[in-house]
Amino acid sequence: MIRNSILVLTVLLLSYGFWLSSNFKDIVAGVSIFLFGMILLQQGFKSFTGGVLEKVLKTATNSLTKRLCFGVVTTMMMQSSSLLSVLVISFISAGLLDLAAGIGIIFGANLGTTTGAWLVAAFGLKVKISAYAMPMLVFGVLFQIQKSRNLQGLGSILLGVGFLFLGIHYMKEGFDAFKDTITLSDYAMTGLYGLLVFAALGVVMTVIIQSSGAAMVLIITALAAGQISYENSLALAIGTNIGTTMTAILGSLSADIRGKRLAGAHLVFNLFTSMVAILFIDQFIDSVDWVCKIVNIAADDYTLKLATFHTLFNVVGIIIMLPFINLLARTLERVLIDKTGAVDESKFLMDSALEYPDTAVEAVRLETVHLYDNVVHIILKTIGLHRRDVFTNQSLTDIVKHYPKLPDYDLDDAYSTHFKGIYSAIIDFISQARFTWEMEQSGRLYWLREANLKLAEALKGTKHLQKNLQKSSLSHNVYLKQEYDKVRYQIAALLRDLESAKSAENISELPLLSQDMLKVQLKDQNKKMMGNIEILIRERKISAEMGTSLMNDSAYVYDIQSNLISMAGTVFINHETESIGVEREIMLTDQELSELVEPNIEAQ
Amino acid sequence: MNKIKLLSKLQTFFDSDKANTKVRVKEIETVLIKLKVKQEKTKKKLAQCVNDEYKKVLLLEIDVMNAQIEKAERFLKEIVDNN
Repeated sequence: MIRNSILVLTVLLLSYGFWLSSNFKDIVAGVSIFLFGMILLQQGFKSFTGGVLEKVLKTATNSLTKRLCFGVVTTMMMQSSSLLSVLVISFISAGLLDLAAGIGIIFGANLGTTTGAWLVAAFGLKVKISAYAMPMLVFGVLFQIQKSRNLQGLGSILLGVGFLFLGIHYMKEGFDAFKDTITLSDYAMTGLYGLLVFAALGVVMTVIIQSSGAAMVLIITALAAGQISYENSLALAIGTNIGTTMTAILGSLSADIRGKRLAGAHLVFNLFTSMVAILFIDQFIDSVDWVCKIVNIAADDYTLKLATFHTLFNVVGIIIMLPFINLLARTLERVLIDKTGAVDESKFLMDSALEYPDTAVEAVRLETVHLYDNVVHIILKTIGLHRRDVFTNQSLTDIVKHYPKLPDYDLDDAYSTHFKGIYSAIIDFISQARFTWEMEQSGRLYWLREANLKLAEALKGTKHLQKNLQKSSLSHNVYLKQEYDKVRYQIAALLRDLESAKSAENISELPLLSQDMLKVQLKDQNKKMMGNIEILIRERKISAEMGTSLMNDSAYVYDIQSNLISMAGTVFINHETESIGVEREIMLTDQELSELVEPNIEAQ
Repeated sequence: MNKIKLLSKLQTFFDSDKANTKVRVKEIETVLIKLKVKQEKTKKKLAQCVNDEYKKVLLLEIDVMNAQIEKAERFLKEIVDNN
């Protein structure tokens, strides 16, 4: 309703403006063409990159610096942060990025959008930009009508840039002609009052145009034509920074909770940086003059000075906010709670699948993999590590060292949210299915149910482990800390191995027999750990109480790991493989495995 | 003609155990070959390895494969002896 009213009002106002002045028409046409160019540019990048962005986002965002750079570069190329926001939200939803990592990328994107102002101020206004636009449009159309997807993408990019240039040209022409009839600079305001009024104008303008990039170009062209004062243009730029969050918030209304949280982070960041810019405007103006002097920008080149200001206050905002990213993420997760779908639901268990035994077995298997992913998420959170680090080729020792502190993670809540709903759905589905079916499928379902029970057991072990793990991270005893870091390392190493087994790309030969390796390593680790603990107690490096807690926890770790391996044996292995029957017979028993680790052990 | 068909079917029926054993022996032999190839690869890795910790892991892997190979050969012998 509100949106429709705004649309009608905008159409009426624009029509009245067109009737009043043909120059106004040129300016608005310029903005529209510019926006159209942005849409084409985004479309072009979407098809031209063909999944490259996703791949880069998956692999090259494991540190804060990389995330920031990724945000800056991607937004710089696309001249819009919205496509990147959508991508980041989808990655957060899939669990490939956490909110804090997403916020890092959005910070970078904010800085990336400021490059648009530089391009326009340094290049767009200094040369006859429309001369470049025409050939680009011609080549763009030519490539667009080709069959190759890549060429079509390239065509869209060329058309996009061409329209951006054309839009800038029309805005510039419009403002130049406008000054013969009306001089907006007569309405310039000074002081704090002027700052606040023009910042508010910047907000309104950006909300109407729905793009801070386009709004900035409009401000720069108006400034270049002398239609607004330098001081007021700074206030307008601050306003665009706030206004752009309104578009993000409007966009997130239809998104899920993750999208809302990311939009929330965007709002907090932009409001904060804008407030800093308003409060310290005089210092910022002085800093801009200083920077311009260093990089040889003329004192009267106000458009470039505006671009410098735009970048500077965003950089300052990022520097101030960076240490608080995790706090911001945690606060947003606490404040913005998903009330409608707080509990994770099953994805694959459809009632219709119950009629087809093979389909139903596969549905249960896929749902168990889904549940396993959630369990991995919970375990990693509990041991203070992240999927984005653990499932890469980075050294696990370095990763564990990088996160010495454990977060205050509510495991009970995570169990209710990410585990219980799906687990119950699986057990219910299996119970209904097993009622009627033949033996073979029922047998598979029996093992799948067992696999789910193993996951529940693994979580139980994690719960037992959590308290002492957290205590140890605050302890001053270096030896105790080292032992608990080993525990974190061992769990993460197993999860990494299992992730590789889960992946379809890593189909192992003799998959069941390969599991014996994991099991024997587990036994070996456990033996070594027990030996170490005894030595530490003997040498008085840890107290006997600490040692016994460690021993208990070591047993929990062993349980967690063996439950996960056992689950993987049922769920990740293709039981249609020819050799599986023989492998099952050759697999080593628990006793045989123990004898390998401790050759002198006697059979009980 | 029908008698011959019937006899051959009966023959297949009585020989089915033998056929199953043959398949089983073949399967175990295939797994054994794969295991030995895998073990050789691990041994080569061990020869090139410089990291002591990783060497221990590889040694353990070789031990596991040894135990699996012994078990498979034991099974194979039992099957052959029983038939």
